[in-house]
Amino acid sequence: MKNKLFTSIVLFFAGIILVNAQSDYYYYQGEKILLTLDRSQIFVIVNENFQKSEIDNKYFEDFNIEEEKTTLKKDKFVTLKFKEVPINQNFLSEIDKLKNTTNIKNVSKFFKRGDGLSISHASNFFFVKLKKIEDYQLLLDTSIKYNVKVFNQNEFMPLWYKILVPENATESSLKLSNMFFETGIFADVDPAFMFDFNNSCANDLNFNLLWGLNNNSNPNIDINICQAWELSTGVGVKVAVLDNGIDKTHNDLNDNISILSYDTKTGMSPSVFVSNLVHGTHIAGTIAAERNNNLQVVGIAPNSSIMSISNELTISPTISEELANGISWAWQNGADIINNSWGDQGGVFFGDLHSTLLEDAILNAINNGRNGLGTIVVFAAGNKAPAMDYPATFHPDILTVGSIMSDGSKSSFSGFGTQLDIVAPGSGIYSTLPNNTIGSLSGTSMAAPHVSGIAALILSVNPNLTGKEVRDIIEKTSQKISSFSYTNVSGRPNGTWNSQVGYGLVDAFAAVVEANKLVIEGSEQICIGTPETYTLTGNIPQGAVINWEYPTNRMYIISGQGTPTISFGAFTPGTNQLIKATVTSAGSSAVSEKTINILSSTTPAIPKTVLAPDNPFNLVCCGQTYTFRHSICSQNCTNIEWGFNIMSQDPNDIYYFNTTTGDITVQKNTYSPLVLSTRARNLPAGCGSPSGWSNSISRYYGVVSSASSTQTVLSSNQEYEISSDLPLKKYFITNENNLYIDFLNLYDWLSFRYGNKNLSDNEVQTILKMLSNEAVFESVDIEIYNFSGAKVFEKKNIKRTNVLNLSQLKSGIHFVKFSSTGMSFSKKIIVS
Amino acid sequence: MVFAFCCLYSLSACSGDDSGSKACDENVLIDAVFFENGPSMSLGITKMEINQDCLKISFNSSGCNGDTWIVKLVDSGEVTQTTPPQRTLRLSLSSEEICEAIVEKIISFDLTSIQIQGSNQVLLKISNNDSQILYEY
Repeated sequence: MKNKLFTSIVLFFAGIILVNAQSDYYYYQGEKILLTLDRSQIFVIVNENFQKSEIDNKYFEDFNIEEEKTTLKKDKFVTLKFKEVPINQNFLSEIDKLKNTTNIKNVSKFFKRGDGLSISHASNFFFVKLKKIEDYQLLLDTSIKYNVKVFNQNEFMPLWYKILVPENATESSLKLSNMFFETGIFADVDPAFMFDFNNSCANDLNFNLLWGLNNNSNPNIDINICQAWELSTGVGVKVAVLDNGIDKTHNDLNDNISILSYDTKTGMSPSVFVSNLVHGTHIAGTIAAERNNNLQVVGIAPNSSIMSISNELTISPTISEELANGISWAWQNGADIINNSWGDQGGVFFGDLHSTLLEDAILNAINNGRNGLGTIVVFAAGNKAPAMDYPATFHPDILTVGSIMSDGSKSSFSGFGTQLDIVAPGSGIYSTLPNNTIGSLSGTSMAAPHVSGIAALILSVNPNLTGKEVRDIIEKTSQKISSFSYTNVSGRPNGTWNSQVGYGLVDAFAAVVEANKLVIEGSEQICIGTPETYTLTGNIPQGAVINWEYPTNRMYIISGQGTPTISFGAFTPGTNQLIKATVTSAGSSAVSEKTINILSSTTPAIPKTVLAPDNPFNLVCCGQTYTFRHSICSQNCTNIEWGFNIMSQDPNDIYYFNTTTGDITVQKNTYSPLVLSTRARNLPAGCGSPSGWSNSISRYYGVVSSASSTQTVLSSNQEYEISSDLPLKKYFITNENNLYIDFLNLYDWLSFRYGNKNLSDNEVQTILKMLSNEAVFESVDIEIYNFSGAKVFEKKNIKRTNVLNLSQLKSGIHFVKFSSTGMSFSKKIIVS
Repeated sequence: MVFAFCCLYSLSACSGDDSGSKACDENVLIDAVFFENGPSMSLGITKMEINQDCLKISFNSSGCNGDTWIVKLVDSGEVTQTTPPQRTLRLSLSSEEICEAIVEKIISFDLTSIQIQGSNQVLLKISNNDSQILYEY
């Protein structure tokens, strides 16, 4: 029995060891292929903050930190070689230790190849082949299950998809590729083995000279082109180069030259090239020199197309017109981007003068190019630092590019200041030169085409972006060179900014990733009972199928399935709910997700309001602007919204009613009164309907010439006939039986009669009626009745101060009736 | 083939009065008015050296390739009687080019016209960058 138990234990542990030994494998054409572990070395991906001291070198040989060139990330890598090959247990414990080191992002094993060499598997992606094209949804579902992302479909083999593994993934891409295959859902997988990390991302012979694209000395100071080329090479984008001609026969450029070209001097096609002029050919090469042709150099967008627009770029009386025509021809003939590596040399030529013709051409391109989406116009900032050159500076929608050196410092010549947008490599830039040669040039001329090239990469992945969106992406994704300090600046909405380097060094990879992004725009919460609209923005090809998904147990679609804009309703509350839009076009799909909260509706209590204690008696004319409060909230004041009902005002007066604070800002330009009613309600804090409105408070505001004069009116109250509904100031019978009558100016009387109080609805109506019949109330009709009720006196249209002789009346009690416009007022008088 | 194009041009001698003699490209222009009012596009002098009677100046400025550039070394005409005596000169650049590339050039000037009688040396003060160089003859 003991022997059997011992045997079982031995077999059990042997099994574990066997499983461990055989745990590394991959699938090839459906067959499981075991991988032989190479315990002599470990492959480590580190972030840019990594220091060598973070690795305990007790067990490892000295090592170099090398730049990652082949994966999608801007990382560095280290190959750690053991001084002595460890046993399996020690090997695994070292891997665990490295995985827990702060600045180490990924640890991978090496596997032995048949030729005795070893390879590591460190890619952050793998490939999956569908059994049939309709299985795409299965791929999406599986990707969600394993927390990976479907990146794109293979352009030539539509059953194959590239799957991206996020940085925080708990499993390696090798293991994830196995897990996908083992679902049985898919036809095949490819774990994307990485071969020879020291290989460059381009085989062009002088790629190592192109520090702007791939900086070996200062790996953080380049535009991250290798990573960007994984996603875009500028296919389908036309870049116009307005310059002094391009050698279209150059063997590293000729395949990327558009047949469309134009010469601004002759006003005809084709463009003109003079062999001793090198500038234009150099610019064109930086944008679109061919890639992986085993020749000289490579451009930023090596599959874009160059439209040559030639001009001598020397001063002449017609230069503005020629350049304007060149820009106009370019956008009207389909240029997506116009590169302009020229300017007025620090103001030598234009100074503070302008060419409206040239500016109009540039703005037309920016506003109307690309069928209204806007052509991207890129200009060099200028070489006469600190001055920046015209016309780069004349409009904020121009992308103005300064220059940096390979160590990240600003090129001494590079213009800078408030109109600088971004910087790019511009010192010691190698590119194509006429006669199949290459060479180095410096200047902001050289920086600008780096940006034009990146704009081409962006438009290639998302041709639906507007010009503004492209500019915003380039600016937002720029790298902050650490030797400069950046701050938030008014008028610079795309991040922090510095006057020497603008938003920073352009980043091709980050820009392309951003451009490719689908985004669901809309509220992060849905209120039950209230429809909410969401819009999918980003790269949506024409004719693409859009499918919206949502938690059907909580939400429903009101309208818009299949379109970029959808309206949802909700019926069950829930937090962190996922809505998802999938765009499918030509077999390729992209997904965007948004997390939202579904909230129940609440209705807050109705507030109560009272007249503001500092409410003014009258308003003051004229000219000065001041603020006052009409009413205030006295109860249930949680999230107040004020409502204003202006019942009478002069259109020449200026009022601003603040619905949040209840403040009224006024500039009185007339002596016309203001009749105003306010009320308040509470808005829901999150979801729900507003409360009902509070009681209204209505006021009549008369107008005086100074704040102190309001007191004058108040102090003379007793003189007035306050119970009158007519503007009657006073009346009395004199000893001579004359009826003395004094009427007041209507505005003054209304102010006296109704000012500084809450008005009833009837009072408001009376005021409005009188104001609408202002002229009529300048006079009244008078009738006098005796005690028996017989009319004994009548006089119409009595104005202002009047003395009526009543001596013909019998003595005794009479009643005088004042009336106007249907309103009347009667009083007893005694005639002696 | 990599052709390291460094934009280093050596101006060939021109015809006319300004043409330099001997091995120099140009003569020095002595003109007080031109010194004050002549073209003055900004430029950067990167190197100066005297070889016999030739002052060789390396400089750069912004342009396309410098083909349109007119470069003169202008003497103000005044001699400061110090030991050694001093003359003030300015490198004048006129360009019609609007490209934003940095173009570098080397040009040499015959200094014999600015020798001072009674002295075998003169200190040349170059006003462009406040530098100076001793010319011994």
